[in-house]
Amino acid sequence: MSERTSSRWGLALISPWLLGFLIFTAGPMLASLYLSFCKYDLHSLQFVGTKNYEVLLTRDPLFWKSLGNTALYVLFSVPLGLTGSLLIAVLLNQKVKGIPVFRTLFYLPSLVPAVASALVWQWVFHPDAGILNFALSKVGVHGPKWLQDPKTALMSLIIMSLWGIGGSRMLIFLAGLQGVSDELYEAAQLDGADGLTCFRHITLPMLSPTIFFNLILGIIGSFQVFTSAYIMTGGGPDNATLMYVLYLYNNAFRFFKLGKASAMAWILFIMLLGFTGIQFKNASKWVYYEGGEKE
Amino acid sequence: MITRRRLIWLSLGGLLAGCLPSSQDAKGRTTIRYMAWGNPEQLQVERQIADEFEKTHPKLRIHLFMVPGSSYPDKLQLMLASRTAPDVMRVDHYLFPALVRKDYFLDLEPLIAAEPKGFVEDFVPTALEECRYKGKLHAMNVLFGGVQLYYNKKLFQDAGLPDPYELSQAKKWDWDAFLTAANALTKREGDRTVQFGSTFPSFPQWASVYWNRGGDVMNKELTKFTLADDPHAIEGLQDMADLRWKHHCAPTPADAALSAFTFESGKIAMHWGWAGETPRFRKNIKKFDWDITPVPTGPAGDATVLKGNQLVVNQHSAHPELAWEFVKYMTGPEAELLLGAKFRRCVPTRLSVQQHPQYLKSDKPPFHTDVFLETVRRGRTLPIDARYQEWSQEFNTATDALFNVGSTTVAQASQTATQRINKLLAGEEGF
Repeated sequence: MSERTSSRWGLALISPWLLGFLIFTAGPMLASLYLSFCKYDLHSLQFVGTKNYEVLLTRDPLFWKSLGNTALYVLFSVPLGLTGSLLIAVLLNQKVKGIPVFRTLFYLPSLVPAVASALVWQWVFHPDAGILNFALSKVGVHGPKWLQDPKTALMSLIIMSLWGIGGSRMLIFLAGLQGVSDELYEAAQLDGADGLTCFRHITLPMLSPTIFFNLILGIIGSFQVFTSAYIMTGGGPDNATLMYVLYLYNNAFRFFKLGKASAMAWILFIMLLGFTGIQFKNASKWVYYEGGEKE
Repeated sequence: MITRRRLIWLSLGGLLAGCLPSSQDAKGRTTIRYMAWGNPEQLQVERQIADEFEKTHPKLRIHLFMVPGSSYPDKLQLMLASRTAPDVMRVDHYLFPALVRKDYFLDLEPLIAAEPKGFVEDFVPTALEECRYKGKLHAMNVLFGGVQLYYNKKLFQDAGLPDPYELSQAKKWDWDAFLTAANALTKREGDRTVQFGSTFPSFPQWASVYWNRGGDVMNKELTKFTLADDPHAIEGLQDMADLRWKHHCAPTPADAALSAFTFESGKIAMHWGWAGETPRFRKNIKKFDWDITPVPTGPAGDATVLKGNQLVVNQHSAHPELAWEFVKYMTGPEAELLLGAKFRRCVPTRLSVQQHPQYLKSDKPPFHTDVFLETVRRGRTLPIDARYQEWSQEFNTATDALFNVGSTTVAQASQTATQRINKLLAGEEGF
């Protein structure tokens, strides 16, 4: 098969996906870029230049409030989630009897639909009857009001985000761990390295591409947190859990400000693009690709 | 000779045609699509009305379809914007003023003009008021009603308290009487409350509390938020905050989140509720007697909150006259008797039905039908305009710390709300 024929075949074979991407992702994205320069309430459309961006960046206190809330959420939930997923993956990578059962058990919570788990967590966080404060009272601590107190509501959502540490991130880590060759460990053990040293000098460097991948996806995903706040608090109390995407949703579907909401979406997109770019720049310092060129 | 390409086009055309709703079925009946929301029991009622309508209108078929209440506003707006909305829709009044401005709904005046004389005069004026835009009716009112207090008769009797309905008949049911009852009916065991005197209604259900003190949060034109400069309105907010945090006779959000404290459970003596909650209580309450009484009066008045839903005809409906036939039926005497008398789902908007013996005499609680009518008589419509969603969100956020957390003063919350909302109203709409 010539170069040309094979590239044609390649194109032909990905065309369903390509069409879907152009029609359902790229098209709407471009449309929303245009809308972000308009005043649009689903009914009348008026071009207003950069006004939506100006309003958001200079005159809308809730924009900054929601961005601050989301940044805090990302700052805590991403490192905690990554560490948690990695530790569980390491545990589930041991050669113990019945490991498939354990793997299934740890993966189960992430299969629960987000809405259902949010409803369950509302009970967990209940100040008087919740299991969390009950456990705290057993060790003599008077638990906070969690979701009902502006001081602890965001923390509650961060704690709840750890519900997902046994999910797909853990699976990706597990796959990464399986890819670390046993020879390396054997060689290190011959040189007298203990478990921790092995983890520090073999597991982590060998896993660094996987960690990097999960970090990028984790940051992007956490910036888009919506469901838990939407279901559990509606952004309250006193805007303590008003997340960026929740505020975007309110602007679009409650206040009919679709232009402003589109502008928010693009600001988020550009921020995430920037974040990811910085990550990739830094990656060369700590991510090690086997067989890749070291710079 | 059909080429392969033509065949593809043909089948594509066929596919598209299959997607488009055809308005005539095999029996030559025209289909009117009607969209609403509600729980299964409520929808059964509407299906029943639609069936009755089909019996008397053999050329029409009502295709009733339901959307869950939580996603209804989104779905409605997207359908209207994409011109795929059904012929007839039910719209909650919270959204109606914002949507009617966009020319989505048919002006009904020409159709009403063709009706017999006295058609409009049979409706409660406040019910029609909600449906007007620029002085013209763009909807009819359905599921109309106001806020009254549902009360647990058994708890009142056990505590040896005077019946709130009798107090209200004797013009003695004011805020103090309500508070006395709420306090007496709140029971504590150690540091736990096991029974509360009253539910804590969410805004705007309790607007009557500041109205009846002679205050208001908005000016008449709905252009300025006036709460911080209105001592009477502030008193009203103080009453509500005290009910929860000083007297502790309404559950906190934490208590309420348990769902153990609901009117149906028998652990709350008085419930601030809409008329439409009656069917649910009838279905779920088996263990105690209950009834209704008006909301407490205040030194400056005896108002209560009044609100309905709007039944609208799509501006782009292919059959506006047929859609109007259905709207007319839904708000006609037969349907109103079913909805109002049989199911107690709302208060009739027709004066003739309000006086109908079937409506006035009830064989199941609540027996005080006169309270529903009293509510309508005293009712005030809410200050809902196109920006209501925005400012009520700000208001709720500002009062969150006051009502739901108990961490701020009424003065502070009023200042915050007034500043934020006036800033919002001064800003250009749509940004």
